[in-house]
Formats: sequence, structure tokens, C-alpha cells
Amino acid sequence: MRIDRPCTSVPADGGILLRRQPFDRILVANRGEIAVRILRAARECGLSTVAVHSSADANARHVREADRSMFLGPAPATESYLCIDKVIDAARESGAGAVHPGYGFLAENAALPEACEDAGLVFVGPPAAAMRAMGDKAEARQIALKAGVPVVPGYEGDDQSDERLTAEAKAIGFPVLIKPSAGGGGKGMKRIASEAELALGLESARREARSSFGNDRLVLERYLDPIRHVEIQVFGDATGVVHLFERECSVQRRHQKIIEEAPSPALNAETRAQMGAAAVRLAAAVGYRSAGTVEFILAPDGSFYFLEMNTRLQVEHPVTELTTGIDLAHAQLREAMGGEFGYSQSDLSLRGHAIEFRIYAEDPDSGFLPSVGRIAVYERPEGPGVRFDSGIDEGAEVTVYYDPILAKLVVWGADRDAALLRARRALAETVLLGVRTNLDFLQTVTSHPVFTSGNATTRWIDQALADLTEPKTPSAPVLALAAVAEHLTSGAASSRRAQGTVPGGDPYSPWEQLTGFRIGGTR
Amino acid sequence: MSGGRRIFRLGDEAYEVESFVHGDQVELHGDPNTSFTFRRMDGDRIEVVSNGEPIRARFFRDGDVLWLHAGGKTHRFEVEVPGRSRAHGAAATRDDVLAPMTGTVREVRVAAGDQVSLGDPVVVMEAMKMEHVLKAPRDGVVAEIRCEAGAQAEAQSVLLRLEATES
Repeated sequence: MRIDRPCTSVPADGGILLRRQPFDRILVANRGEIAVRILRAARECGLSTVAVHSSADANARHVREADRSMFLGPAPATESYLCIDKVIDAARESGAGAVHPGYGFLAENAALPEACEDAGLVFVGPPAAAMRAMGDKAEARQIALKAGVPVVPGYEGDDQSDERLTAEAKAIGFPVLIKPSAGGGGKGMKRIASEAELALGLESARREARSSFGNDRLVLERYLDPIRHVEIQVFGDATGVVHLFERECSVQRRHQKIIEEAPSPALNAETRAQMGAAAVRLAAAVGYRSAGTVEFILAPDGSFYFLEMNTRLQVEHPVTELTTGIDLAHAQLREAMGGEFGYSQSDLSLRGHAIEFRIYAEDPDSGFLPSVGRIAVYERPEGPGVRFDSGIDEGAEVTVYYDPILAKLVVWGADRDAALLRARRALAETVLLGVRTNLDFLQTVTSHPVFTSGNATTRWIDQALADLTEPKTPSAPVLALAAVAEHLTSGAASSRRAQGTVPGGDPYSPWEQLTGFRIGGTR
Repeated sequence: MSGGRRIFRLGDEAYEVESFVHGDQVELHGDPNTSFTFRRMDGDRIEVVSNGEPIRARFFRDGDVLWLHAGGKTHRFEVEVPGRSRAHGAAATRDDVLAPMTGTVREVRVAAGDQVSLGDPVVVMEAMKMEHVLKAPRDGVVAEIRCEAGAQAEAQSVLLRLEATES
């Protein structure tokens, strides 16, 4: 079925690219857990759903969860999930009336809402102009300053020469943080400790920025330490902007969040209200619509500074959903159809405590390097207060092509301690075998006094890494279980021996024969 | 009844275990020296009973790697038969720069014959949208480049080799 919609040349809201009208079919331009989450929300809203996929994802979970699926291109994201023209073609061909970008990939690329507008499609998200303004770190800093929102001392100028950046870095004072101006989500950020590291850092940051964001402009900021990372969820509709309180996101590795929670253990009611109001001022200043997040850093003295605005649904949005009772994906869909958010600021309140754990295919023992492989055994946690958002199945291949996030465990409890108890139980219940994950690492973090006392800062994981990745000695029962499993699976090993492919063995060794020879034991 | 001596490697630690399985008993000899009753529950689920307490596990065997989820923790053992050379991984020396993960080689910053110092950036790799700068493991002369910019590299493959030092 094809639905042809007339393309209006003048947007209803006068100049801001934003088409809002009912639709009955939606294309989700993403993969993994976020695609699955949005597909579910769309189905709940009675919409018919279209997934997109690369050649690596033909049988992926998100493809199977959609009513139909459109092929985009080869596995590399630059040839599939990042191709706006392919996404638009897929939407047209499948008869979708709207496109939801998820997070990552095209989610903060203003060219997507513009292309949607041109194609007569509704873009589920903010106006392109707001996205552009906030997507550029340099411009966002200036808007924040105008809106009376404090920013970190730094440099965001047009002169991007090494000489100027070096001079600015020296003026700011080391350590400095290099950020891609077009970046987000911590990607491509580098902490530079001294002038000696700067040249290599700039070069690497530019290259990474170019390959990830197609733009190598950089922003320098003073590296503040120790700090917390606290962000405010906002939502805008035609009537204005409200905030849905904060998320504490200080537990990070390689500048990327791994645990987020709400409420923040570091905010008092007064700071929460001030930060919320600052976020609303900033979002309102750019005519923000739909879900967005204003990120702040919080200094030990309670002062806070604007960091960046993420003009999309965040990875950690479930934390807000569990503590406010609002389904943000539903709200986005409603707003995209021209509806209102439906809650005023005074309608909103926080209830209980929620914590999200990002389960990554990575090796915490080797600097959190991404790992690949097939998920051979997969068991999800269940029970009261446990939400598990994933985009994988047993048998799924984790490849080098995409972000290594496998799933998100989000727990809710009446208070932080109750949520922590639930988190430990649910993390221990989660089974993922066949690819290295951070599950054990998350458990160690969850039991560490710095985390349980709510005192983690953004540098804590780096500082406590040796402590957090200390090798665990397997207990005698665990070694016995390993021996039993080895015994039960040694068929594969013995068949390889029979083929003569295992070198170096002694064919006369009793261990090679497994015929009942035994030493050192008495029956 | 069957059994044998195995080395279970967990990260940098190695545990040599001599075990015997007969009937529903598994005996461990050496350190620890003990025995347990075990039960295969179904497929990949097993349990051992320790002091009357059952400890359950799920396992998955992938070549030399044995994955075990027991007591809420995930263990990734590399299983080795003593005396047998390991299939891979043994080649890692301070002469080699290995790919830490499967990914794309973005840039090779040195050429064969170059003198490098400990910590010098030699190869830049990218995987999952993150860039990793690989550094020289020691002072030395580059003997051989085994990768090229733009090419894929498998995890643990040797990207670059330094000339062996005389000691």
C-alpha cells in the first residue's frame, strides 16, 4: 500500500521545519534494543510498523518485531543505517507516514527531519532548526549563555588551526577536554593532560569526529574534576516545554555512561528545581519539541554548568519513565501526530528510585574493548520492578559494525536501597554466554561502597578500575562445575584429536585416552 | 569414569585441576582436594552440591573456551591440556603489537626499519565507532608490518613486529 501525502511548502509553525499530522504507519530507522522499544510503543499506539536493516541484521530481533522490514544496504552503517536517502526511500516504499530515528545513527542529524519534510513524512523528534542549534556545541554554548544557563569555560571559535587551539588550550589550562563540535554521547571526546599530548589528541579527535560525525570541528573545555554528570529530561509540545526531573549519569567509562539513575543522590530539592528551570529555559529558547535532554555537570559545591543538549530520546530514558510513570516514546508519537504532552509541570512528580545498567559486549579487563561473537546462551531477568530492554536473542551475532550495547536492565524500587537490592538480584540472574560482557563488572560496581553510598563521580571508574577488575578466584565448586562441563563437552576436543589437528599431544599419555585410567585417587 | 588434568585459565590466572568424573561424583585432586555430587539437570544446566548447598550453572563450550555462569557470575575459562601447546595466544610477546579487537586498521604510523620508543603510537585501529591508538610495547626497531591501512584485522592477530632484542 502506498500513501501519498501532499507536501506542504510552508510548515504550519512558520519557518521551523516541523510537520505534525496523524499517521498510521511508522518506520523506525534504527536497530537493536532502541528499535525494538520504539516498535513496541508504536504497536501499543495502534500503528503499523516498519523496520529497516542492513545485510548483517536480516534476521535481527528488531526485524522480526516489525510488521514488515526494508533492506537498506551492506553491514557498515555508512552504507545502511546512516544513509538518509535509503531511509526515506524505505519509508516511501513501505507506505510509512512517519520516521522515528531512535538514538545514535541519524537521530541528531538535522538533515533527516529536513528530508522527511521534503518527502511529506512526519519526523518523530524535534524541529530541524532546534537540532542544528543544539547539535553544534559551539552554537549551543552561545544559546545557553543567552538563556542565562551557566557554561564551562572553553573555546568554540571558528579558528580551528593547531596554533589557535593550542593557545586556547593553554589559556583554558590543562587538563582540557577535546570534543567534536558535532558530536554527542561521549564519542570522540579526549582528555588531554598536558601540552605534549595535545597534537596527537587533536589529530585523533579530528579523524574520529570526521568518521563519526562527518565534521572535524572541535570544541575545547576546561576539564573539571571531580564532577558529576546530571541531566534533565525535557519534553516540548506546541504549548511549551516542561521537565521530567533529572537522571544521574556519573558512572562512566571512556566518557560513556554505563549506569544511570533517578533521582540523583547528589541533588537537593532546590538545585533540582534550578537545574530543571535552566533546562526548560534552554529548550524553550530553541522552540524545542518532543523528548530531549539537557546535560549538566555538577561541581562539588553544588554549582552546575550546561554541557550539551541531546536532541533525541536517550538510551537512559527508561529511568525517567519508571520514576515519573510517563511513557516517553508514546509521548513522542502523540506529539508527532499534533497532540499535546498532556501534563503541566505541577502534574509531574518523582516516585521511588530507578537505576539502569547498560549491558555491553565488551571486556572490562582489557580497557573495555568491544568484543564480538555469538550469543550462545541468553537468559533474561524477570520479576517485580525489573525492566529489560534488549535487541538480541539467543544465537544473535555481535559484530564489529555497531555499538556494542546488548541490553539495558532497569530496576525500580521504593527507594535507592530497594532498587540496589533488586539490581543485584537481576544482574546475577542475567545469563549471556558466548561473548564477553560487562555483567560481572556491573555487579562489582553495584556492590562497591562508593556506588552504594551514591558518591560516584565521572572519574570514579577510571580511578577505581584496578579495584573493580580485580581477578576473582573461582571457588572449589565453580572449578568442579568447570571440570564437569569440560567432561561433558570433551567430545569435540576428542574428535579433533582423532583428526590429528591438535598438535603437541603425547598420544600415549593417559590423559589422551580417557579410557578409565586414573591416578592419585582411591575409589 | 573419566578424568584428567586440565588448566583452566581465567584472565591472567591459571588453575590446574586434576579431576575425575564417575557416576554422579566429581573429584578434584590437588588444590582444592575435594569431591562433589553433581547432576546434569538438562542440556547445558548442571549443579554440584557443596556442603548440602546446590550451586547451579549453565555452560557453553566454544573450542578451547568454556563459558560458565555459576553463582550469578560469568566465567570464561580457556581450557588447556597440560603439555599441549596452546592453539593461539602464546605468541604474544613484547616483540608484537596485537590487534586488541576485531576492527579496521585506520593508519600505520611507522615503517619497517623505524626506531620506536616505548609508548610511541604505531597503529591506529577503529572498531564499533571507537578509535584505539596502539603503542609500541618497548623501545626497538620495527622488523615487520603485518597489516595495512583500510584492512580488517582479527582480534589478537599480529599487526606489527619489533626486531628481537639480544639479551
